[in-house]
Amino acid sequence: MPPDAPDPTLREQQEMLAAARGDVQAFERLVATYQKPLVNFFVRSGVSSDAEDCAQRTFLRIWNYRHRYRPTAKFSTFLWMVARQVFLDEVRHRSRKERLHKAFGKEQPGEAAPNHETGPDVASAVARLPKALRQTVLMAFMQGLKYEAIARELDVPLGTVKSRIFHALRRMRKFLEEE
Amino acid sequence: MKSFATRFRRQTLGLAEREPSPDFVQRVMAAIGQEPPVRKGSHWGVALAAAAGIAVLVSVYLAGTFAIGGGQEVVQARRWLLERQGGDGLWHAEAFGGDGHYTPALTALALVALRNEAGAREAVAKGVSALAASMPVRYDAQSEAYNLTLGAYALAVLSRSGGYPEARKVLSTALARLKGHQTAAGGWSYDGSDGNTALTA
Repeated sequence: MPPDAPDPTLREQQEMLAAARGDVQAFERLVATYQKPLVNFFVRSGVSSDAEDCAQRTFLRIWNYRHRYRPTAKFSTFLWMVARQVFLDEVRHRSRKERLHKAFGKEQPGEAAPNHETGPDVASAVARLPKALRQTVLMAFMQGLKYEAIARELDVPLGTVKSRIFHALRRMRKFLEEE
Repeated sequence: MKSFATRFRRQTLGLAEREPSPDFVQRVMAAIGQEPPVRKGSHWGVALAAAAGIAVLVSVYLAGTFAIGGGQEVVQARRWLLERQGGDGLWHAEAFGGDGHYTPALTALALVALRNEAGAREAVAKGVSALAASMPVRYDAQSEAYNLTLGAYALAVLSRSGGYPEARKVLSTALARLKGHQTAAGGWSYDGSDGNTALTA
C-alpha cells in the first residue's frame, strides 16, 4: 500500500461513524464497496431466490442500527454479523411459511421459489448448526474466507477452524439424510 | 463425508460470482430514504410505545367493561383457540408455524383472549399454571424479554380478580425483574435503546 493511502479498515470505520452522524454519502460509499461480496454471500447461502433483496435488507438494518456501531472492530465484522443474522431470519421466515403451507395444504400465490442453486435444505441445515459451527461455515463457504483469515477474525487456532468445519459438515450431512 | 464436502464446496464457492444490478446502490439509498427516522436520544420510540400502550389499555378497559363476546365470530375464534391448546396447557408457537421460543408469549395472549369465556375456565387455569412455570428467569435474549413482558401482562390481567395464587407469586417476581430493565427513557427494550413499542406496551 502506498504510504499516503489511507488504511481501508480505518477509512471504513470513519465512513461508518460519519454515517452514524447522518452522512448519507459516506454510507453510500460503504454500500458500493460491499454490494458485490454481500450479494454473493446470499447467492451462495441459497437462502433466497432474491439475493439482492437480502443484501438490501442487510444494509437497511445497518443503517437503522448505525448509532450502535462502535469502532472497536472492523466495519466488515459488523457488516458480516448483520448479514449472518439476516440469513438466519430469512431461513426461519421461510421455514415458518413452509410449515404453514403444509398445515393449510395450499400454495401461496406470488411466493418466491427457493434458490435451487444451493438448495433450500442446505440453507436450513446451516441454520440448524450451533452458533460457532454456523459462523465458521458461513465465513468459509459463503463469505469465501480462507481458514487462516477465519482463525484471525475469530481469534481461535487454525486447528479449531478446521475442526469446526469438519464437525459442521458432518452434522449438515446428517441433517440432510434425516430429511 | 468427502463427497458431501466436495459437493457443498461446489454448490457454494463453486458458483459463478454475480454482479449486483447496476442500480443496486441507488435502490438501497432510496430505501433508506423511506425508512422512519431513528435518532439516538429522540423520543420517537417512546412516543410510539406510549400510543400503543394507550391502545392496549383502552382495549383491556373496553373488554372488561362491556364484556365483548356475543358476536359469532368471537365465539368461533375463542373455540378455535381452545381447540389448539397443547396437552401441557401451553399454546405452542411451532404448531402455528412460529418460533418455539415464543410459546410463553403466545400462551399469554391466548389466555387474555379466553379469560372471560365461561366454558374455558379449566383450560385457562391449566394455561395459567403452565405459563407461570414457563416464565423466563432472565431478560437477555429477545424471546426472553418478549415472553417476560407479555407473560407478566397476562398474569396481571388474570390475577386481578383474586384467583390464581401461583400466578400472583410469579407475577411479582416478573415485575421486579422488569423494573430492573426499564430504560432511562422510561420504556423497555431488547437492547438498552430508548424503548420497544411491543415490550413497553
